[in-house]
Amino acid sequence: MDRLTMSARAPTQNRTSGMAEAAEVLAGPRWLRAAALAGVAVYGALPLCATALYSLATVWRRKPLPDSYTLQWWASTLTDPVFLAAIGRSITIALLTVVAVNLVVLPPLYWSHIANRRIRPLLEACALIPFVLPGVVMAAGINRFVGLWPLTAQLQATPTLLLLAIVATSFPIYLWAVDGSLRAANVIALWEAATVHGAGPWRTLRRVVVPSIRHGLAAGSLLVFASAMGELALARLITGSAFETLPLWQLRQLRGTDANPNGMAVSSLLSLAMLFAFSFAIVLGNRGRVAQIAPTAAKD
Amino acid sequence: MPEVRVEHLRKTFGRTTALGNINLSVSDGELLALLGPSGCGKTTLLRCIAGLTRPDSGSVFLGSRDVTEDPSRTRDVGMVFQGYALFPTMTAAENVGFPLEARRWPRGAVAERISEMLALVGLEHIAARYPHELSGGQQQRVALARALAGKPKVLLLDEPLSALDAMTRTTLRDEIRRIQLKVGMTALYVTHDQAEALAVADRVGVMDHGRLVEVGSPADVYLRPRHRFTAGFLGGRTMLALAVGSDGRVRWGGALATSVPWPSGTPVIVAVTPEAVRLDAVSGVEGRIVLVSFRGGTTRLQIETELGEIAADVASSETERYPSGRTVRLAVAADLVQVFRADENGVDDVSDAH
Amino acid sequence: MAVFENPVGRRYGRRRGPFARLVADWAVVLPFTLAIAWLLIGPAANIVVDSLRDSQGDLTSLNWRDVVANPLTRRAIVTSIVIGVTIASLTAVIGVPLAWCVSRLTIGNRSLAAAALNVAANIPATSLVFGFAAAFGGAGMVTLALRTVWADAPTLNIYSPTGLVCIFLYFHVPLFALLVLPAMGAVSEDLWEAASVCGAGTVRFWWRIGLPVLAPFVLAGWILMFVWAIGQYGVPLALGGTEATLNLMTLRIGDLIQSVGSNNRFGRAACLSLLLIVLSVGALWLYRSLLRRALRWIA
Repeated sequence: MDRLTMSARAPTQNRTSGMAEAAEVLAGPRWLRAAALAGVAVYGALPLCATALYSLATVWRRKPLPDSYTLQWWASTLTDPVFLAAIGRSITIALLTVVAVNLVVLPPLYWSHIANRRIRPLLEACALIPFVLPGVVMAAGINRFVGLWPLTAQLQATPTLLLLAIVATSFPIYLWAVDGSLRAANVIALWEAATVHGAGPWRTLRRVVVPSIRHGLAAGSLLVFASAMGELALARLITGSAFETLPLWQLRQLRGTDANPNGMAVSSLLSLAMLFAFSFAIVLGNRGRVAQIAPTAAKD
Repeated sequence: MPEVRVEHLRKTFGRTTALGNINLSVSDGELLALLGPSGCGKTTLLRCIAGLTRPDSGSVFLGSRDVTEDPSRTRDVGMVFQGYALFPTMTAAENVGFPLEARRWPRGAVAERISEMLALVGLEHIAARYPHELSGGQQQRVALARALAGKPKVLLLDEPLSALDAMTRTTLRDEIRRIQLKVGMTALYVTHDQAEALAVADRVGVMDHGRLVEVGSPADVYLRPRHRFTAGFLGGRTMLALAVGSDGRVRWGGALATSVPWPSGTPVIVAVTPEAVRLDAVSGVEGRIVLVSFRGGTTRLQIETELGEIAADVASSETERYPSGRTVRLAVAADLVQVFRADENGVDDVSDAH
Repeated sequence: MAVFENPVGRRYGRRRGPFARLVADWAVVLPFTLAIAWLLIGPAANIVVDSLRDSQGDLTSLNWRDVVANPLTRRAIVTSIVIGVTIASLTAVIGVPLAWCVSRLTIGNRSLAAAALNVAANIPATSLVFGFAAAFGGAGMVTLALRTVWADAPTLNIYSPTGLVCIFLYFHVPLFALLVLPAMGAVSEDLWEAASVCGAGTVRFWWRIGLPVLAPFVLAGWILMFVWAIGQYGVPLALGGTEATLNLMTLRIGDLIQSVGSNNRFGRAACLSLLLIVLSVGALWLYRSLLRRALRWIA
């Protein structure tokens, strides 16, 4: 259970310019707020800066900054076949997860909005399960469970089972993000307008609904992709080193006997760059609204 | 002794002038309505009096005290907000008691005052409910009780009824007036709804673009507006663009002739109320009825003339005589129109044209 | 003649039987439901069963007795809960002011801040642990920088429980801030103005109105952070936590199932897993009821 997501409504903007004065007093001293944010930003940035320096350092001893800099680690990591294979596996798994989640979750979610409201509580309850099943518990359970029957036993410890497990644990992020945008797009009204003008559910979905919730779909898909890329618990406990994904490779650089901190720094920066790109794309694409977070204790 | 007085009040937001040199006083126990289109500065004026917005210059007096520099919390005003702004985590009774708590009334007195206030607005039975459990009208009454609870010098109401449906609005409008009269509270009432303003107020102040255009009794501002803006804003008047003739009279064909004190050729605007239009006159101008809308006791006709459309009211009993499409001859009663100079915008260029 | 039925989700025209309607209403959920049942509910149910069975598959309470009797697992349970409570409380203390500051930014800056928080909240465990080691570890950038000005500066042992808390805060605080950010709008300028017209100052406003309005959201966020913290596996794993240094329920579960052999280790893993599930379900139930109440207020 890594990430949770819900739709964040922006706090109310001051309705009249006259309210700016009240807003200023209520918010508290500006310098204090700026200082607090700056402090948090520094704390947040330090590990990232250290990582960046590590990826460029030749030797780094007893001094606050590296002795000298080199691109050697970038070159060697990006040409390391083991690393490339690991990142390839992770990207494959993550892409398949995104496709699977879109295929399995979007139709019932759409249907719950336009046709059968009783689907909603079902979806919501299901979306809470991954939340109460920590990854490690989930991994333990699913390998044992498929082993119960001969037909599914051959799935045990396979990449396919890993994929299924990742789909099952990461879909809530997608569900919340897309649900929020379906509601924001007022999809019931869109559907009613479309059906009155003669469109069926499928055409409405394709021509009207998907275009109007594309930011939500993109946000949900990106979040699921990022979550699948970073999945560590499931990968370690379901397939282990037999199918080394990026996080498992990173874990080996971190703790293994052949630890390679500089290579780790390079791969870590790549993951972070992806995460930054996704987060800012989501926020900017969504006109500043944060498509995010957690079991909406939805008002029904 | 005026309870509320503002002098030379100015306030700008960026490039817009919200208040341009406002002078106004409200006397003890009077209810003054501030009426105007949205963005005219009426809410800003109210907020300056409440201490929520700081004016750029000018002064605000409550009683004899200059409160211009005082923060809102020490001003001793009561206010009903547009969205009520009830405190969501407090019951109705706690909401009403909050101003007393904040002003450190003794406990016993608070309890007594809360029940007195809830009784005044007829909500004793829902004292223990939370705002989200109340209807819009009930929330509004709680907001009113809260505003009155601390025995403020003045009651400020900012579009208090705008969030309610039409039925509740009328009932509550009358109730606010009754309570205000009963308590004898000085009050300022901001609204953009002319019916509301005319119904509740002792005096109405009409505002436009940050200026207080005119202040007068409801009957005065409605029937005898002294300013072109007021004439256009109230009473559904049609504004006709004409000019003073060589004999010093403003004429519209055979339909209207009225003398004004301005030189010949001065462009003027004639404000014609729908009641002032007479149909089937002996002499007059021709027009064609293009729209008939039933309004209860009267029916309003829109008549296409050479000067554009003009609105006319007829008794609904005579509607059959005026079907859409019919051509009529109309005249205008000179004693019911106002004439303004078109080239100026001041208050003094009105001619009552009798 | 065509009968125009309720158009939502149904074709007009021929009236369909109840069975056809049932299929139309529910068919589209079927793949989803099957996937959930097979991938989530089945394994979870199996854990309950496993916790009550020995390696031969016979019913037993031995696993539970083992879990309670074994000081290692007992300590893991306590440590997990203590860390969960600590993290949740610290997160709330830091996260509420942080969310407040973010909520009062201009809309553009708020989006950027939210995006940055989102990055921190979703940071992969391996990257985070490495970054912390590189910055605050024994030979980390910050530690070294501190040493140059103060030779005996105390260092943070990132492999200790304190270190774990610092690392957890790195991604718990941003998630918490994002969670409660919408609620910050409920403490609105309108309420502040109303309170100040009523004669209240800043302190009274926060004590009587601001904090009560926020309280249910903060509490709900606290619960979520607790659930999130006790379920963390990646970060402790990447830290290389062992029984001696970091004894957590999740690490115990991982160890137990990775070295399945004698002694019915899976049964014990199942017991610990079930405990985690029960803790989470209980907390989540509280969360839902709290938030439902709170949403009524600000709706």
